[in-house]
Amino acid sequence: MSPEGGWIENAEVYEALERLGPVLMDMVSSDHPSLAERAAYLASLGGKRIRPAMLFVAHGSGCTRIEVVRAAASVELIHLASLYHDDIMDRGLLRRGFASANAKWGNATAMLTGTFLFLRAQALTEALGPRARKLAATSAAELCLGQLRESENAYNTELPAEDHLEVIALKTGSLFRLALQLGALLGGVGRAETEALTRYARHLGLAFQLSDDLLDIEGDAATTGKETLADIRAGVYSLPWLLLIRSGKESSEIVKRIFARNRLSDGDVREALTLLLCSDAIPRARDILAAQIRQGIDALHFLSDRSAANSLANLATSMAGRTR
Amino acid sequence: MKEGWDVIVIGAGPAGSATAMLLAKAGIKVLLADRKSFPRDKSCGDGLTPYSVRLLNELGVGPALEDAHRIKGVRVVMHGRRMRDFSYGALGNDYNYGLVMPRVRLDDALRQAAIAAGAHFESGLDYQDLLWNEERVAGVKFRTAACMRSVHASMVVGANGAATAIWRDSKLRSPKASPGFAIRGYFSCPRANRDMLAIALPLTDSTNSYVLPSYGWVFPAGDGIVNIGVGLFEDVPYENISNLYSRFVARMTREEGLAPGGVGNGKPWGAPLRFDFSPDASACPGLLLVGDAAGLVSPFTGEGISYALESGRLAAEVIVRCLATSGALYFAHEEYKFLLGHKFAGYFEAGQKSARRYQLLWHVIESTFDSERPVYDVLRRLALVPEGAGSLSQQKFARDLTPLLPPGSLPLRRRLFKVGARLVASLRNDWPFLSRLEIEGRTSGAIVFRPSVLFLACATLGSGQEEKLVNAATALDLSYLAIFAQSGIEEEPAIRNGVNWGNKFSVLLSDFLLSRAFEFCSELGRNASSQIMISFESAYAGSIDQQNDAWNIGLGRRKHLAQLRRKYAPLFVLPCTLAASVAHVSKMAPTLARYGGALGLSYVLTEDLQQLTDPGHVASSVLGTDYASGVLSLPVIEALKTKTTGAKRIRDMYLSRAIDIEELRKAIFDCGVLESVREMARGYAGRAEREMEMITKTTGTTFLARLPRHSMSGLN
Ligand SMILES: Cc1cc2nc3c(=O)[nH]c(=O)nc-3n(C[C@H](O)[C@H](O)[C@H](O)COP(=O)(O)OP(=O)(O)OC[C@H]3O[C@@H](n4cnc5c(N)ncnc54)[C@H](O)[C@@H]3O)c2cc1C
Repeated sequence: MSPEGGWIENAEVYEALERLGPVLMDMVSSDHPSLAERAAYLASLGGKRIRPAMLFVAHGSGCTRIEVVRAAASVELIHLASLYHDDIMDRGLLRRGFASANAKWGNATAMLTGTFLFLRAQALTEALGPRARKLAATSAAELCLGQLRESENAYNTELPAEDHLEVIALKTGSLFRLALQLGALLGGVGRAETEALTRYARHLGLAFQLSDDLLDIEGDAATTGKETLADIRAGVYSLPWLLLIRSGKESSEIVKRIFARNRLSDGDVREALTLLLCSDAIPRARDILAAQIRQGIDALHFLSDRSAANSLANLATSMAGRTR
Repeated sequence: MKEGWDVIVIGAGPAGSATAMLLAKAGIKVLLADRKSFPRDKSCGDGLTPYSVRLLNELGVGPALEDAHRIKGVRVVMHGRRMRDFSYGALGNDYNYGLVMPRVRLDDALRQAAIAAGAHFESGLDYQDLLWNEERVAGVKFRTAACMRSVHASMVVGANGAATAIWRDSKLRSPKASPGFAIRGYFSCPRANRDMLAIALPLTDSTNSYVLPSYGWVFPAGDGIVNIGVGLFEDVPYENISNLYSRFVARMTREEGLAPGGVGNGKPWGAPLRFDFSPDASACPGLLLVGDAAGLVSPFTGEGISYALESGRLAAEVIVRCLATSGALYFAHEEYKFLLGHKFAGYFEAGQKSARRYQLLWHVIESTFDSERPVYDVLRRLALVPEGAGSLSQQKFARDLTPLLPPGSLPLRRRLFKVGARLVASLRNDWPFLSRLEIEGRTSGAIVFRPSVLFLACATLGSGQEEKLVNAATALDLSYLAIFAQSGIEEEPAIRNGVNWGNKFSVLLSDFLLSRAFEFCSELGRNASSQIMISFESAYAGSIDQQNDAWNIGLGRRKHLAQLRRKYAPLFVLPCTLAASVAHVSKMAPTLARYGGALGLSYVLTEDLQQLTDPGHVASSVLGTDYASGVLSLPVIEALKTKTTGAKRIRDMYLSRAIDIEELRKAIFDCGVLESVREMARGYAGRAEREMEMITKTTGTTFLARLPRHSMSGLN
């Protein structure tokens, strides 16, 4: 399917991904034309569909069954719903190179469209039985909790790195885990192997977010335009920043002081970024990323489905060298 | 020397004296010990909230308060620019005023009342350590002027304020530095006779580049004197409290014409602010902590007297009960922890994370300070005037429905209570503050209109397992709270800098509530989430349709009603039909759906009317029309059809896309169309009523039959 699918070693998964598109579009439809257009919008812009692919991989052979494709579409739907809402929260005007839903129709509409998709996804998992229903509800709750925790810790320079990682695990790991667990559940994967997948999901979530954060910092270092380091201005500090602050060096005090300021000027931001780039925080964050990848891959040893294990290992490895 | 007491209370502040008084009244032998001799002063803002006044009266010290300066409300000034007044007048009881009363007098009055009740007071007893009998606190070691003195008792109450030695000694927690600190001084001021407390939020550092987690206050004490002070909620490296105080005093000297006066002549006096309450760290075998000693101070306004009194009362009740039953004393601390935790759930909260959570709320309160959206209104009031200076009680949807319940409704009430408890339990860990929403409504024992009420009343028609019914009802309440949260979403200008905390909060809150709702649904094993989804889908579609017709003065009545039906009716139908399915009476579903639909329309039209006729009505409640965004209401549509100058004025407002709600109110009134809308609302209410009259009578259906008319009864 998409070039990003390169990590998948199971041909059946590509087939399942082919079937996903129409099912997904069907799921975002509504009898109410005004809502239908808005609900289909982000789904129609495409995307990597990484979560559905994971679900198929975890399921293994037989993953093209409609029931499995539906489950994968539900997970993707929760993800899509969260994008509508993220763009409101981050005041994002662009999504996948197009106007975001909020930019197009306003915040209120983006809000209720995202919520509708979220409800739709939950309703669809109902058909998959009580276990699946429960998994979906719990993961969604964790996702929300992770976002809540992140916001609670806005401007918190004292946040220990471990707590920060916990927040990420909730925020980014939850849907990866749901994908793998649903895949395992529908594919009849045993308990021990499901647990291995669950562990993997956590590490992958962390690796995914950490590599994203590193990309952000490097991207910002390259451009240093007006909009750089929007996260810093919003008080969201990624791991490298927290490591720097915790390093106890002179630069950590300076950065803390800068972050405490009422409004950060461009000069402030540049100064902080220079200090970060000169410190060892980025290499240390890279080490943590590498460790997450390693631990994720380690968890896969328990899997008997080798093509699934290889695929997921590829996916984890790709986190090390992600580029935009 | 060995002395025997039933109870030793350490500290004769409000918490200790209240505890000792109530214990003594119950005939318990109690020693009230303080290291100071009385009357003694205490660093405080001296502000008594209406709830404090009420508690003090209930404790019988009302007469001592008679000459204290009366207060009508609080004025909150945000960033020195924007302000809001919260009036106590809207409180629906006798204690709808506050007081400013110097602590030197208040505390002595309470102490004397304790003595009068039979408590033995001794000053000069300085707490040193706890005495133990195995794992149980069995007494106190005091230092007196002359010697050390050990005093034994069956129970010890720690009411020694913000000092932490007792934490260390009881091993309840490690004595950390206090989270906050506050300083006050007295001044003479020409405006000392005002009847509003003034609170300034937040203050900045001297260079104005750091916003500090802080507040300042000016409390008029009468007689030409004001109490002025500042509080800092956490230690910050770039500012200290005395500088903050000096700057605030300097500013107030400029703005208010202060001069040194009163006790201490403006000399500052400070004390720690302990708002790190944690139920688990509030008691251990043989020891209960009350007031500041338990960390019960509001992390928003620094007030703590009412919590001191209330926790003291709770401790006394628990001890009285436990002393009366043999063996029960061993569980007193467990009972106390539980009750205290429940009472203050969400107000203050355990653990390290608390400070962070408050900050998120602070960001939101600050950045939505000017917004009239209901969710922010409630949030603001819960935080700043927690006893609800007109909070939910002001809103129509919060009117008490208890009188509508026929005799024999106990099962319904019990289930509603369970729903409330479950709601609190599901929010408390992660959104402790939100559980206030629930508790606030419940402390009065009132039943307010919400989907769980509708659901459970309908469910009386069938059977259904209690557990399932309660879960479904909780899921409904959570989902509708999510809609309430969504009402906070606002559009923004194209240029966007920084964080829009209001929108962010609304999104987070709504998603969080819904995710919790689905956890309850997932227990149900019915197609509950599908039913919720379908109803919300219609409501959302209706809402988009409505937005598409914003500013469209050509919108006809028929189309408008169709939109209303799409947007609101499903939200009223859902609890009814879900009840039919969970309670196994699917055959009733069509009737219940018709009932819900008619009820919904009458509710919404009533809300529209209320919005227009009652100026005190919350400007944009969830069910009301959001005029600012150009949405039309039935009264507007009807008014536009008239050939009056009012109609012309309305047309102009909509054409220029600028609605002044006061102007709109007047114009619609001039058109004389309200009666016809009222008639329609009455028609729908009657329709709903008739649906109920035709079916089996249960306690629930009797209640449902009374509901539509009741919902209209508030109309003027
Ligand atoms: C500057 C400031 C302003 C405030 N403003 C307000 C306000 O306007 N409104 C409001 O409601 N709340 C306010 N508060 C909070 C309020 O003062 C406290 O919450 C309240 O006093 C708590 O009562 P308490 O009985 O628990 O403790 P306290 O009132 O502190 O009483 C503790 C008693 O224990 C005694 N004690 C202490 N150590 C020992 C010992 N070792 N041995 C024996 N006895 C001991 C003390 O002498 C004292 O009498 C303010 C606090 C501060 C610091």
